[in-house]
Amino acid sequence: MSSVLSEERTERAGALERASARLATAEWYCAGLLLCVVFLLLLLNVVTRSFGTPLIWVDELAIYVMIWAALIGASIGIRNRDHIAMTLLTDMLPAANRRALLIGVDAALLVFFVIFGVILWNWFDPVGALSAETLADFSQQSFNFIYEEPTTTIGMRKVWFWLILPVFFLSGALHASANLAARLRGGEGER
Amino acid sequence: MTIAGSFLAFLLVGLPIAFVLAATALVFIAVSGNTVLLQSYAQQLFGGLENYGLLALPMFILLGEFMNAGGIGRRLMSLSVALLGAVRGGLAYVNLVANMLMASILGSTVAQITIMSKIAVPEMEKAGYPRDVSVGITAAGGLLAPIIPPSMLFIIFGVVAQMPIGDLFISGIVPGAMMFVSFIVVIAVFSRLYAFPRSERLSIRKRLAALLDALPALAIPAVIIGSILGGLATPTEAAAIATLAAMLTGLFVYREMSVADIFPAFANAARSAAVVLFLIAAAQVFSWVITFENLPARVAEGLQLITTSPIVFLLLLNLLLLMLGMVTDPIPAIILVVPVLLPVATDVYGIDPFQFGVIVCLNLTLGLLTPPVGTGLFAAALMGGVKAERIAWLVTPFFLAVAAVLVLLAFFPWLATGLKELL
Repeated sequence: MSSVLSEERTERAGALERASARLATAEWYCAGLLLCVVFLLLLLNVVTRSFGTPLIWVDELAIYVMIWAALIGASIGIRNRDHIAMTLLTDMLPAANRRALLIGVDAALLVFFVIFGVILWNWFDPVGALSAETLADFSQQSFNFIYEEPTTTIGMRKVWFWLILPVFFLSGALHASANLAARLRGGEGER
Repeated sequence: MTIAGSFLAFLLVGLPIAFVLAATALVFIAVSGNTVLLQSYAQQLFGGLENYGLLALPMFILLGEFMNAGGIGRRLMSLSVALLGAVRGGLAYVNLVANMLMASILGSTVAQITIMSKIAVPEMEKAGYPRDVSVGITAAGGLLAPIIPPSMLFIIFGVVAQMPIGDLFISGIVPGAMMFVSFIVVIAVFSRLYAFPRSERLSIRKRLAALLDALPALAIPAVIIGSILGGLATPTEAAAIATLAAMLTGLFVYREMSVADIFPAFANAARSAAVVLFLIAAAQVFSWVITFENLPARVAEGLQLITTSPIVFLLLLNLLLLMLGMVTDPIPAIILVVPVLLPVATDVYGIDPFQFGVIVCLNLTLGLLTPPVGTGLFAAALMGGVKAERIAWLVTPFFLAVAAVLVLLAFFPWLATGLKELL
């Protein structure tokens, strides 16, 4: 949807920015679809309850689907700079200083994502988990119960839902790098 | 010190507030050396959103999208015209009544100002009202959105404070009605001051037609309130039912929407909701880390040196919120203030949490119309083509009216809690 993305921005952009634009479009569809699912789950709950046959897993699933939609939407928000910021000070700066500061902010965001990536790597510990005999062994040796934690009502391991966090890391880092690249090139000085 | 310093530095350079909170939490962990917390950091971010009440947020945003696309706002405006007789400044009152009706469906000031600017301002201008005053009244009317239930701010307050959202909605009804009445007084003064034109008398036939046309639109707030009070649905599910009703009304009754408009409404709602939800998730990480600092206890100690009177505390709170509201949006302000000050208010000063909630939400809404950071003000200026400074000046009398309501709320807690206890 062209309304989501500023197309003119991608015209003279590099591969990074084009990838970020394409990803944002895909994310826009995903987030919309997931919110659709939340909506239908809530209605399903009303209907089944009024027939006296409530489904216990609906509420928990609706919450997880909402979280998926939220983190995917938050990733689009990084690309489009939708996230609320205090711009009182930056607005008062002269143009040159302001640009330097904005580049700094974009870089800081990228640094945050790098740290977040390291945190996720340590938590999911793919190397440790794969080298252990079983996931149960891994949990016992590392005291990291990420792969054992159950959901309350759905009957699935919670890690399946937590997988949105690495997805958010990857997409957020891509958008943040693309934004920084665009800013360094001199574009997007507006916001 | 390092923590407060990095928090302020991140905030002032213009890092998005959600990332300010998430990054400050990291700084705290680094400074405290308690690196074992990093193991739970990502889980806390996810867990911050594991809350049933939060589902109401995307649902009410979705409802707003469908209201906007489905032509429901315009019907409510026509109905308000039909309800009022020939009085001086008729359309100004109509604007207010329509805003009141909209507020009973929408929960966001900015969304409401955006829709009403498109509907009400052109009508008023055509009838001979000065444009800037019309935009000012429309902007002020938007202040009703977060207080008349359903309200986005109450949802967020309820989640942050862990209080029942339905009860918060009910607590907002009386203060909302008081605001409405005080706004009527302001408009009566405006009518003389700016010599508003008299509205024409409509025939009974036209009035009935407008009423009939608006009935499906009026069914939406009825669905919300009825399904909650009837025990059929939670406030969250009521929003989903109302969304379905708005969608069907837009598609088949008013026919202003087509099937092609449905998916973009979902996707855009998801995008808007995500910004707020991510902020809440980051705030969760922040407050999880900050509990190790025991900030509320320290603030409480400092405050008790200043005053022991609950009324003085509430008046000071109002001043603090006004200042905070001027420089930030209400949602981050709630997230920053409530975890620290709510325990102080209830445990130290014995203030009712619902009274506290209504005061916080009402006060922070004012910040939407104050420069330098006023999203509602800029939305109104943009939509109406009037300078933001001019609108800020014109809404000042409405501000004073709200300030009066706030002072009354500080002195008389039952204004917020009475109706909830009756029901």
